[in-house]
Amino acid sequence: MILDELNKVFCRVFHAKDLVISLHSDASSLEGWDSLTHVALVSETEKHFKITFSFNEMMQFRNVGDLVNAIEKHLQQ
Amino acid sequence: MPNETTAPYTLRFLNACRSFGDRLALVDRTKTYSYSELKAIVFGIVNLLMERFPDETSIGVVDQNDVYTYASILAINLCGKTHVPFNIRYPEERLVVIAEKASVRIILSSYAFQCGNLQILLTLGITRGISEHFVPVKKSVNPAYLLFTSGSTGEPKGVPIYNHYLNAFFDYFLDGGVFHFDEKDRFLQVYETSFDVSVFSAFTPLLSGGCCYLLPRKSFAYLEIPQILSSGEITVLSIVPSMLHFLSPYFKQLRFEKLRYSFFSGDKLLNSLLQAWSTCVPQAVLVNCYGPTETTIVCSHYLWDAQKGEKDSFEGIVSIGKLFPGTSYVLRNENEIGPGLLEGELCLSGTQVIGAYLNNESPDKFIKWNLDGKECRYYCTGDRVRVNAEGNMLFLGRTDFQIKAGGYRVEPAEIETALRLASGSSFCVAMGIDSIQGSTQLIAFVEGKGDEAELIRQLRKKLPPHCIPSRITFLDHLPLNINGKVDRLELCKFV
Repeated sequence: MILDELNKVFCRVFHAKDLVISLHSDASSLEGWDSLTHVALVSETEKHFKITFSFNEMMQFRNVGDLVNAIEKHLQQ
Repeated sequence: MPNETTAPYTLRFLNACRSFGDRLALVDRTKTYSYSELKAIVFGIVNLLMERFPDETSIGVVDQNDVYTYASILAINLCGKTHVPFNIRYPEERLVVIAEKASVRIILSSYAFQCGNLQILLTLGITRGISEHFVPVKKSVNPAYLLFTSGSTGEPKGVPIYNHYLNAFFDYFLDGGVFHFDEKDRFLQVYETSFDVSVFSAFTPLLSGGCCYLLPRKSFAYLEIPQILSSGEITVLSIVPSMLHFLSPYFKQLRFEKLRYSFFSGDKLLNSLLQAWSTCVPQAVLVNCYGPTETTIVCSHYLWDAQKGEKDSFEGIVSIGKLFPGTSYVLRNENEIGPGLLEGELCLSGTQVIGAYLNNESPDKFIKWNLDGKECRYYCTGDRVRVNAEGNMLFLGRTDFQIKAGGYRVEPAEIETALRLASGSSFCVAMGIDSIQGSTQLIAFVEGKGDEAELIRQLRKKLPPHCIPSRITFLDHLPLNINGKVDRLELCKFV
């Protein structure tokens, strides 16, 4: 499931092995999620799922749900 | 305290108000302010300060990233007082230390704010001031601002920047004949006011009739930069190299035709990164600047172009160029010192360089040297440079363990002190590791066992965000070298 796989990415980027994310997780609920972490998250997500997001797509991600939707769309292509 | 006195650097703002009253001075998200409107707010705050606190010399300003923040800074300077920035992302404990060191009793803020027992004056809504009754000071004995940098003793260190340093800085940028800004220029201000390059981004336009756009501080603030550049509004951009590094995967999708100047400072800049960025900003003059906080924002620059950029770089790092007129250097090695050496620690003196830290901390950072028969005081930067045949300086590295993370100066000792207190372990090491893209990541090692997340939570209560390690590794024993000191090279193997 995409969310489970994405959770592994978040654990890596945030260096928090017990982190559990939900579709609603965003910058206000995850401490340390700022511009720089965001770019690292996107980059690690791309590597993990072997997809590439455009800059405009990256700009639109505001929570984990947005990321999951975009990953689904790319995997279906 | 030095004996210099000089006119407030913000007097030029009043000249700009006279010449450009109806032009846009500041854009704060969707709100715009003309020079006349901004001046009214400034004088409202001036009235507040002069009527209620005429004897206070140091005034804190909380950086709320709004018109009241910058109006407060202008007002404080016009009254001949010292601005002390308060960063809302810093833990309260640190802000209380800063307030104590800077003798701050009053803080201006547009919104409610708490800092120990300090008195907070709310500035939101101040819209009117009677300027004809106020005459700005002609000279001020007080620093224009006081910034605090990471200190190797474990506490932040105060850097007093006087008006005459800033006047020299703006004389060069506005009247030096190298850069050509005018009232049509629009600067994007991306920095917090506790970072001194914010003075360049905010006040170069405000002192010359241009417009300052404040970057909205949403969660992903840096990602807003391309959006704002795309609108075509911005003609001058100043960012730190790490911001460019994070945008680099998307360069092929970015193009900003209206940008006239793209400045960099605060950290090493890779020539390859600048080469790639140059294709996004085809009309812009690309400028790499250098300068510790102690030299007033920046004190050298290098005008880059694709042909000579690589030739003038060292190990792929863009040159930091030549010093501004009014600043001189000597280079120092273990056994020799002088202006004629080709390589050594850069020591600086001149019109933009401080003579001492607040309360004369770290006197060992200053040396004396005879220049043309006159004894001058030089600030030892800790940066090793080489001067090439064209007279351009190449950055070689540090003489100590100081780290630059995202443009911010970080003394490992400050983090290590906090780590020892929080973990209870006597052996803690903080260090920076470089990525291939030139950015630096802050990491730490602690001897013993512990909980990384909990330790980071504890550090956040004491240290500013840029001093928080991205990773803490616990080891049974930290490796020691033959002298019994922690072997940092050996620690790199655990990275």
